[in-house]
Amino acid sequence: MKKIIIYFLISLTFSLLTTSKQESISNYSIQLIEYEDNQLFEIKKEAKDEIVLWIKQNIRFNEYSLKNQDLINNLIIYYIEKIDNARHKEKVDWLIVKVKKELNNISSIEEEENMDKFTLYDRLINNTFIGRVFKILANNYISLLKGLLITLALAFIAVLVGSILGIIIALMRISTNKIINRSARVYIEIIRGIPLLLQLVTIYLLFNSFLGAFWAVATALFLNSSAYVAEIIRSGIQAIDKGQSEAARSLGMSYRNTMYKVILPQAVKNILPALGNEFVAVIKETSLAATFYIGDIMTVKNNITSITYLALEPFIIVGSIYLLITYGLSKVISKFEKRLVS
Amino acid sequence: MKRCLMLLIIVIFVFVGCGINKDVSLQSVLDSGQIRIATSPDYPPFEFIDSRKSGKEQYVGADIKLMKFIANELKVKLVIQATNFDTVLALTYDKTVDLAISGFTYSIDREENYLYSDYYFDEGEQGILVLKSKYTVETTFDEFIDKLIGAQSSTLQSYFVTEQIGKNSLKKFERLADGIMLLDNNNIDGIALSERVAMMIINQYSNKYVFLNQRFIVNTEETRTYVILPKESNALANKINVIIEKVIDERLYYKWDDEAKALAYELGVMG
Repeated sequence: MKKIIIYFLISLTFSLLTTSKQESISNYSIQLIEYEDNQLFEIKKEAKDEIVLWIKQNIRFNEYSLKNQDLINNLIIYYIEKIDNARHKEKVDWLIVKVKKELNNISSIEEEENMDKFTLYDRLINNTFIGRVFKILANNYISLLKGLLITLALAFIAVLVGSILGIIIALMRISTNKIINRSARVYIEIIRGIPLLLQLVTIYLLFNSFLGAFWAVATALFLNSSAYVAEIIRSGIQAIDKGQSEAARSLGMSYRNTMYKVILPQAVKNILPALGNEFVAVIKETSLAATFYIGDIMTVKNNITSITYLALEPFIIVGSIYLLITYGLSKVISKFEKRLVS
Repeated sequence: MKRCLMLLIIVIFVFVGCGINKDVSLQSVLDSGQIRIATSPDYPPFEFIDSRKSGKEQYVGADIKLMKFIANELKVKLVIQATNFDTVLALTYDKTVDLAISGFTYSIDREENYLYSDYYFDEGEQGILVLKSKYTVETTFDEFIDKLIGAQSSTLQSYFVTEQIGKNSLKKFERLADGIMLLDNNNIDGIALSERVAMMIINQYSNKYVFLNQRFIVNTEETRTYVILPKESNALANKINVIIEKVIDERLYYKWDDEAKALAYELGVMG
């Protein structure tokens, strides 16, 4: 739009130039012959070119504040006429200086008007870092809250389904059957050895068409989480002293009974706090899902960044939200831990 | 028996494979009643997100209008797949989507793996955005030879910087906002941009930046934007070309572009 306006203006001035040139040729040709001053004609032509160039370079036509456009147009018309009528080189030079001055005045008036429009409050908001942070926060808190909800939902699904899968894989991992044991181990090693982002992209490409973006991302996250949960559970179970299971077995309990009544109740104490930490970790990992614009809090941050061209301010906001959530969660988890111990 | 079954399966696979090789791109779109288009909505005014809305409505911009127009012309439903830029290419290569519209300009490397439609828009002049406090509009490119100019990685502008300013002058960044942060903190001296994007930034922060008068030397073909499709979907490409011809004839894209710019400005000022 702006480009079109600028071109329009330039073409307008050019067309003005050409028409006035023709006029000048017809009206003042006699005078030109009289003075034998072809030089002056050239000077006038150059002067007009100079003005057009100067306008192009120095006056910023704002698409959204074109109040002064008519004023500038009239000025240009007025001065170009004057230049055509000028009879001395000095006069032409003086006119150029004058037109530049007047045009400058107009643009500075415009700037002053703009400055007047902003109150002290506005200036504080738009020109300081903290002000911008609060402005973004005030304008986007609804979408930020929505994003937070999606992030938490995603983390919850990932940990819940991941835990169920993780338990199965952990049981496979501690089983004595070689094939089952090996396959569980391979699964864990593959998932833990590949960066989450690569897993996200691969699973998104595979499942996106029939699951939709959200569930494709959720699938990737819970598959990833399941491997870590499996390791947490396995280590929790294996951390129980071997004597416990030996004692239970020697009392005549079956393997199943030993597991359910002796080992697992003790293992839960080891497992639960670590599981809570896994939940905190998954909340942070969901930020990678913003690659696919599923609407989580990082997606909201990306939207704000792309529209306002501000990189740091949205980061501060989103970072502090993540910090608040994870800090609150780890507080809750530590309380649980204390209760488990007592 | 088992061998017979295996043979049968192989034969079936071969036949199915032959079936896939036929160009069904247009037919599958029309049959399924939906066209899947990938885009990376982080580049106003081409495509961006209006966070006041939700669902499909939140994607706005001139390219999105073009997608809607294409879907309308084909009389099918529009499904937008929003991902980051690299994944847009992967989705298209994979044929997970029917086509991609994300302000793509021409590049030889991409031509090998994707099918280009006719161009639908010309991005226009390319230049450098600098801080108003440091440079005037008359500054020429020669002054930047021993300085750093930022450009988005793997874009046209990064190519212009290495070709027309200096091989060591290029500083790549991922998002435009990152580049502006670098510019504000004096880590780089300018950002190579297309004029229309630069004007978006200048309109929002008028007292801070200026766009230099000197422009990069470009071929018009370089700055044109295209729709890209997977290879072997010529039927769909031909149909898209017909629609694009209509868009160009009726000068629709310029109208969409103006609307998108106004909306982006409104959202940006609001914060």
